[in-house]
Amino acid sequence: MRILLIEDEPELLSALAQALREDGYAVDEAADGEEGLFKATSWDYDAVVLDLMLPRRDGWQVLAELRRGRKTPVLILTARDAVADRVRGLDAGADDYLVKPFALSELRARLRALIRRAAGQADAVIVLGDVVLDTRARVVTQGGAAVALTAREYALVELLALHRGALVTRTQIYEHLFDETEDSLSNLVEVHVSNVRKKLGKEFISTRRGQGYVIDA
Amino acid sequence: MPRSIRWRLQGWYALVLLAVVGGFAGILYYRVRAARLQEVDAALEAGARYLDAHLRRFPPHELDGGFAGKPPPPKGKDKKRGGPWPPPPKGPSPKRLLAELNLPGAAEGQRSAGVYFGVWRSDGSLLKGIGVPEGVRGGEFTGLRPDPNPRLTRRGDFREAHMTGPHRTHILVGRSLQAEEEDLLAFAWQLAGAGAVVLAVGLLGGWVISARILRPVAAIAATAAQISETNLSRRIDPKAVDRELAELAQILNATFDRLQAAFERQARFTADASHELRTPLAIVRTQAEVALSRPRSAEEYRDTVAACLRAASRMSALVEGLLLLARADAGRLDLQRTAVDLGQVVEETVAMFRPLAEERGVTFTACLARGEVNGDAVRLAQVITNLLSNAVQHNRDGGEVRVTLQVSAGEVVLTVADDGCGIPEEDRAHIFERFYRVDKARARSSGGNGLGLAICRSIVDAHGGRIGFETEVGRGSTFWVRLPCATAQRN
Repeated sequence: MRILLIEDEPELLSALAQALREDGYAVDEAADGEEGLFKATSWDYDAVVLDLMLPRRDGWQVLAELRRGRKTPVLILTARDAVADRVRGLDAGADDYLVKPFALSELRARLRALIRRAAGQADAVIVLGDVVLDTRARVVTQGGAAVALTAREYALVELLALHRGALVTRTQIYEHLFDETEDSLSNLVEVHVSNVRKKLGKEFISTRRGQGYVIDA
Repeated sequence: MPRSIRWRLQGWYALVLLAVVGGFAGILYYRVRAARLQEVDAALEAGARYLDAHLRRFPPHELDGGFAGKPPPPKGKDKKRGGPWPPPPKGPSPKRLLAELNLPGAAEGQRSAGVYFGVWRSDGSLLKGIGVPEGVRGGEFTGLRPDPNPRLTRRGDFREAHMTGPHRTHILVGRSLQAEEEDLLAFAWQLAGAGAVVLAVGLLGGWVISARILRPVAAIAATAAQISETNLSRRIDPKAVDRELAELAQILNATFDRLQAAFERQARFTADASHELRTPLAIVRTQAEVALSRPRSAEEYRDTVAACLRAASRMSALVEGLLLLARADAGRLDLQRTAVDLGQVVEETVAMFRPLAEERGVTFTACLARGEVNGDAVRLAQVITNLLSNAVQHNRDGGEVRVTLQVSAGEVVLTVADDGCGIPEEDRAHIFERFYRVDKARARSSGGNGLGLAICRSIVDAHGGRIGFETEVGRGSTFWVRLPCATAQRN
């Protein structure tokens, strides 16, 4: 899952990025509204965390521009706590609103919910036959026994599970699993897919040759 | 209802209405009364003149007294007495004349409606009288100077015309005024009744009018009440009320505007302050949470603690600034005033800033005179620090900051000029406002909290000085501070 952080406070930005990366998210950073808008419209993020008081282009403008073409879930993370600001933010197209200072666990939960909802999944637990995905603890169990997956492998399984029954292309996997700093020309996707198959069974992920991968419902 | 405008209005209205109606009724009554009496008088006078004219046809001896009814002795018989009797008059006999002596329009011997008359000879004996009331005696006036014109008197209920007739006879024509008095009394009651009705209708109208007049006041009061209770954005529509009240409405609206502006300023200030405090708080919290989420290396912990420390010092600077402004607002800045050489303070501050300026390639030029002011050295140093900091932060790379200090006209004048981008027109009015930032993009990188110039102004104000600036977009800004000289202050 790939997340864009738009935040002009460098120390908050770095800490947030670190926290989300440690959760297994691919995280892109933007320090002002202009850069944030550029990135948000260039890639298909699973969620955008947006500050409102930004240099060059404020959060409202970024949100308005973004909503012209994209349905990317947006969580506003700001120090503005007035009810009027919350209403304005949500009405402008934001999906959630969190006031600073915030608990990291709450931000994580809200991001999980946003990503889940955007994929049309209401429950935090996804059941795929005998494989069960708990998106809260980021754990996969098979027949009741925990399966040890790396953060990347888990992210791959979650991405495919959230779009179960639908084809997910290699490009999509690249876009959602790797952040801007990683080299996407490698064959990392194939490596991860084969590792997941080793752990969860060969039939868990089926390949559509030349197109991508799918987890059947 | 104590001090009610409506009741007072009504009271005055009632008073004026009463005076007008009462005055009008009074005048009307007296005019009518006078007319009625004049009518009576004219009738009485006419009667008297008529009687007078009638009496002139009487033989004189009939009127002289003592010979009533007796004709003068025949001329031949009384020749030796030589009585100077005039020849018996021609015409009707005295008896006939006496019988005919009556008021016009009355039958012989009958009393004319309500009118009585009496004719007395000069010796007081009654020649003839019809209906003369008891106690009315003629001759009382015979002693008066003969008067050919009737003289009107009033005796009790009676109006009488007295006239001296031929041979000093006394003619009296009189009548009772009772009927007139009764009529006039009835008329007075009618007037009083009509007046009362007019007064009642007028007061009712006045009550309605005063209600109408006061209705806009009630509307204004209602709007004002809504303003104080709900939101501050409601206004009285001055077009909806009358001109006199529109002025009041405009004054109230202006007051509400100021009130709303003050409230909004306060709300914005609170929001800004909380925003400025929330951000470093969020840093501290997030940094700590991330650090604690799993075991870290010592270096990572050091970084986290350093970040928290930076956030904490940012918060304490902000809190100190807010406290200083709050104290200045309350007029309790508690300045430690001593004789301070501002030139020296500026020199020290410039020296402190040189390394930071060099980092940015900004050079300082200072032209400082000695300028002694009576002030708080620490606070004044804060002003200079803020101004120099701004001049360095907002300067272009390789720019220059020119600091001058001179004494002119009893004032120590400090100027700090930079080669920065200047202050745009629309920002100039707000530059000294709390948390106002011209360039929001620079805010975070420069570490300013938006209070610097507000603090400068508060401190300079507390010293009885002035602060201002000149600026040109693209060329730079010059901030100046003028403080009263220590010597000038002593004088």
